[in-house]
Amino acid sequence: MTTRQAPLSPFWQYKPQLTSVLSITHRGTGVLLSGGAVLLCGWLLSIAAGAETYNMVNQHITAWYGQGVLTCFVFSLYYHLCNGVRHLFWDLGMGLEIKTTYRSGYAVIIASILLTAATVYVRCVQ
Amino acid sequence: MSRQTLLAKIRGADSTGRGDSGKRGTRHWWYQRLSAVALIPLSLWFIYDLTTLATLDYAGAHSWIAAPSTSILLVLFIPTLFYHALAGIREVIEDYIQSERQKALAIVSMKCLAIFCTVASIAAVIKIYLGL
Repeated sequence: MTTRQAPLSPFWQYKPQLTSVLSITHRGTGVLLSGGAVLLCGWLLSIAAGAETYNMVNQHITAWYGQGVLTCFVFSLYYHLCNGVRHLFWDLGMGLEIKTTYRSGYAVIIASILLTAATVYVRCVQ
Repeated sequence: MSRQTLLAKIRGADSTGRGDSGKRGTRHWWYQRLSAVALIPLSLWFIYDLTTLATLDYAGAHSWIAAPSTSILLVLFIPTLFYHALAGIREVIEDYIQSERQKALAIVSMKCLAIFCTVASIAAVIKIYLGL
């Protein structure tokens, strides 16, 4: 069987624009969060395994790099959630005008940054 | 395979009721959106609860999961999360992997991983909830 060369995805071909960058970021954060889901599974298993295993895992979570990774996950989740809502509106046929997609795009960026900052703040003052 | 069954299969209406592409695609599309909507409150709850938990040492994490409300929500959250993740990863694989063989292999591997993680996570939550 011969396979034809598949066409390149749009983000490889065109000059980056807000809309295309947000689109590929949606995928990127989705893939990252899928990895996070697997780590969540590992975290749950470590608690089920007992204190010794959990402490071994937790020592990495509480370290600076662990907290850094967690912050990336938190931002990815907020971004993917906000942009996902944007997608759901599009599925309903709403907000498809160019001007509106740019406005909602900026709103997604601002909302996910603010939510991440709020979460980090709440965690720090805790 | 006769032409009749092949056509029926493509239309998603073969005798086994397990059609390809046609109806299955629509169903996947719907489930993907349903899981997305369900994950909005579930993931916000998850992140809020973990953020506001004062300590995440062993005792703190254990008692958080052992609480009935957490156990129930996690048992709802985990399958929805892995279903949604798999749907997304599948879409990425379908878009970027060109060889049909590798595509099928990648999708099956990801499916196995998602099923394993779902079962293992739920088993862990049940074990913690029952205090075993």
